[in-house]
Amino acid sequence: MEALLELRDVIKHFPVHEGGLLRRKYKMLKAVDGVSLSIDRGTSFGIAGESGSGKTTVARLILLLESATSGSILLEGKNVLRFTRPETIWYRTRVQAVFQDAASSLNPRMRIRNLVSEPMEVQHKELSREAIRAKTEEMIHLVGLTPDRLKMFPHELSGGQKQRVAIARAMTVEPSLVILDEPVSSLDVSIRAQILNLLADIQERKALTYLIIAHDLAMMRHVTTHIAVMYLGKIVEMGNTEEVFSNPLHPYTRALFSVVPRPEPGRVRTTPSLKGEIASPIDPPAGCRFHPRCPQAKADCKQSEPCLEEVSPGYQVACHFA
Amino acid sequence: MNQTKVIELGSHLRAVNWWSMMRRLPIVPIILLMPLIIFGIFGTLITPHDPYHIEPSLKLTAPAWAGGGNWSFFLGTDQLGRDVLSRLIVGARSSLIVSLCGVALAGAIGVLLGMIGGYSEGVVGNLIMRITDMQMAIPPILLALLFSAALHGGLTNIIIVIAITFWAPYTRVIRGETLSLKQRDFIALARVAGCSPGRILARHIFPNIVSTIMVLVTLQLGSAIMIESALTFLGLGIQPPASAWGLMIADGRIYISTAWWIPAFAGLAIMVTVLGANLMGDWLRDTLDPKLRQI
Amino acid sequence: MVQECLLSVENLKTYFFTRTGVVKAVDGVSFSVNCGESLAIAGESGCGKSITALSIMRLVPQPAGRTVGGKILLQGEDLLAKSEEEMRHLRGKVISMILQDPLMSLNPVYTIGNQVSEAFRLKGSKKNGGSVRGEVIEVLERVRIPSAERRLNDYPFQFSGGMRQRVVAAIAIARQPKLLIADEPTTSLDVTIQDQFLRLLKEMQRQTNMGLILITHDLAVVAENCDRIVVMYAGKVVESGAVKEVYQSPAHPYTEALMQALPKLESKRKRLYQIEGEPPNLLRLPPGCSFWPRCPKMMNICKAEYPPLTTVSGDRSAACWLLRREGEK
Repeated sequence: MEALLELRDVIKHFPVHEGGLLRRKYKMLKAVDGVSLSIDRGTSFGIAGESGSGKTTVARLILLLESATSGSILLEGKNVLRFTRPETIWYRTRVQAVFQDAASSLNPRMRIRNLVSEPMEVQHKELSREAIRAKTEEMIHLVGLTPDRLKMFPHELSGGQKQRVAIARAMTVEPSLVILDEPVSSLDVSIRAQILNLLADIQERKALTYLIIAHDLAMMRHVTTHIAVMYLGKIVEMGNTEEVFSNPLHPYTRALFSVVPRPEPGRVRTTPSLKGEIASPIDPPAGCRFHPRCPQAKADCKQSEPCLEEVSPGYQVACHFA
Repeated sequence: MNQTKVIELGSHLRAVNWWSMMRRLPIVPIILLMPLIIFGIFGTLITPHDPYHIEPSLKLTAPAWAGGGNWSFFLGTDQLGRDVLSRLIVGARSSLIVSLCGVALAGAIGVLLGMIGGYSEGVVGNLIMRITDMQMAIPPILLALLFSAALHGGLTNIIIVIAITFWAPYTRVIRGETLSLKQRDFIALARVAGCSPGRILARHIFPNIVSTIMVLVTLQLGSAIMIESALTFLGLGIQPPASAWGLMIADGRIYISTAWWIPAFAGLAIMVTVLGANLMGDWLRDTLDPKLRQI
Repeated sequence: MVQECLLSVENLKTYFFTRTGVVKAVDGVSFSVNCGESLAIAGESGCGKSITALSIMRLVPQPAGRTVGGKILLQGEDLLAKSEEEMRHLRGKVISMILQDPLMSLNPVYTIGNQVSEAFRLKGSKKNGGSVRGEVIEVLERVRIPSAERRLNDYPFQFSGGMRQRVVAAIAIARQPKLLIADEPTTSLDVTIQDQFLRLLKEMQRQTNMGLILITHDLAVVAENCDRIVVMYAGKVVESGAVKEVYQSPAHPYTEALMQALPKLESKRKRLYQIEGEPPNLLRLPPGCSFWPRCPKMMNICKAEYPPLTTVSGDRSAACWLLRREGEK
């Protein structure tokens, strides 16, 4: 299986101003601080983490909504960050996205028909109006909506229906990779399963590769084949979903799994709450970024930052003691 | 979710009641603006007399209800024997055309600059904003005077003057709207879909600022009429023998104690129209976009 | 500890009168909370759980919203019969509330010391800023804000999300209310911070034997933090009872479906159980039971009449015709 998308040492730092009017200081917000990963064709790769982890920035970097400070992003071996304009336009047919808030993802003044057909109109100017119309209807059916919705405006649809439209829009150009940033977290719980199952069905039908960004670990377990856990701009653990979930090695991952609430009344928790706050990406702690909160921190952890090391084929952990 | 929205909406709406439904329509502004609209559209068709016909024998006749009045000249005649009412009607047309075109042109310039200023990063955006700031620092009357003196009056030139004077507020507001729209997810997704900046501005940003533009245009209309009247009064606007409210005030200035009706009705017409335009603008703003309340 | 009844809500009805119709946001809801107990009101958006909380606090958005029926007995006294003046005395002192977004709950231009002390400086306690300082520090320490004294002069933006929510909690419990209502308090928090905060709530409860009503859509959070649960759908209670029992064998098909649709951290990757259809539009509720269009066990009678609340066992009840049929057999 070849890698469809690869990130090599991607870094994104944002300059931030601190201080008052007279004594302005510039600091760097290290949103993504050296991320390397590889996504195989046909898989569902998940990135999990809390706020400040950098997972959303990774998505935005891949979508070229932000420009990376350094590093490379390779699609089928070609460095995307060095693309010329026509190559970037081609890239946009290969990679699409679905965001968290469906209401905000759809232009409130555009009809559903136009929202779904726009990517086609922009990318494939040579297509006739009938061809585009046919494709739009095909997409609407794909996501389980009826054609009578096409003439409506977004505010006439429910939350779940809006997200279906967002999915249809992303699928119209038949991309290879679809990035899903919190695809169901703003939807009602009773319809989350519908949308997740829909995404799984589409993936199978269209042989897609997914990159799923989320914080809901239980959901990630069900929908991903591989997973990377991020903390303060770095990946701390990455591998096959089954392996990582059945036996997490990094203390942060273990704490995360233990802290996620389960619908089992009377469950006895084996680990205590994680102490402290998530540090700021502007001033991450020295050495291992997790050491101030780590129940297993030792002297080494303050001094040197652990690198991602392979503990078994395809499974990497960044901890001195894994 | 639909029902949550309904509940939020419910908090702001009153109980079903035909009286409150009537209250919701902008009755007062419509009544105030009716004369302008009717006069502006039908103009010469509804004048009781020829507004340009000079009849020295009938000069300075008082309005119908005053002493010495004549019901065929309902609002009296001016110093050249022309019917005041007819001149008022025809004058409305000049004011209407000038203000609407002027404000439309100002809007076109201002909105375009605002959209570009808001959407582009860096130098271009900053440059546009600095120019806008400079423009807004100059008092509008002064600006209008300078330009109209340079261009020597006349209908088209007044329109240009109004456009030059009034474009800056549009840019300010539209830039703000564009900036905040730029943060929305659907703009990012439009970029992901491969839309060019031009397409994004035209198809994604513009339709979402149309209601703001409508409010601004209505609010500016009042000021435009005032500026036009002021310029005309000073002799820099619409020139005789064309009829305009400002001219009627200018001509009638010296008669204010003797034939008060010459400037008075024109002044009243200006006041009513400006008030109507402002109230309409307020109503539009409150109905369409409560966020704009600070304008 | 003697479990005395703290709050008893009986047949509460809060409607919204809109141009397009009457929205029965809360339509005949009954439940009770004892001292020291934590009750969960669970459901999706639009089910009426937040409006129930606002109705108890008498803070329903007016004029469109009005509580039109029922009783809210707080320690025996009907809150609906009280005047606004009397309610103001009760709010903060006897019942208190914390909301979902701490950023919106705090005023950005006042220091947190100022805002917390405001809770103490209200009518009835004639104190000025100076004498209250000690109490402010004490309550901030109770919610585990590190270096509380130093942070009195900090502004909300200088705190992280989790800390802000704790400040909000401090303001809420400053005068040791008997009942605390928390409306989705952890939805905007990270999971590790959520865990800390929920433990804090439990501790606060233990300290003062406070009653807690936790409003949430997260059934996992309910399982780990609450004693009893009330499940709401389209403005009505569909199931209520002790958390352990309801989770073990849910009586109402909606509760059952929700539990099945939940992704579980422990199970392997597979297709999720999905509930068909969408949450209903309160302006266009189907006749009979509101859930029947989505119910896998729907019967003919469900379309005709709304099922009454039937006791399953002890204090467990559910509103479903299936239970009636069972009883009749």
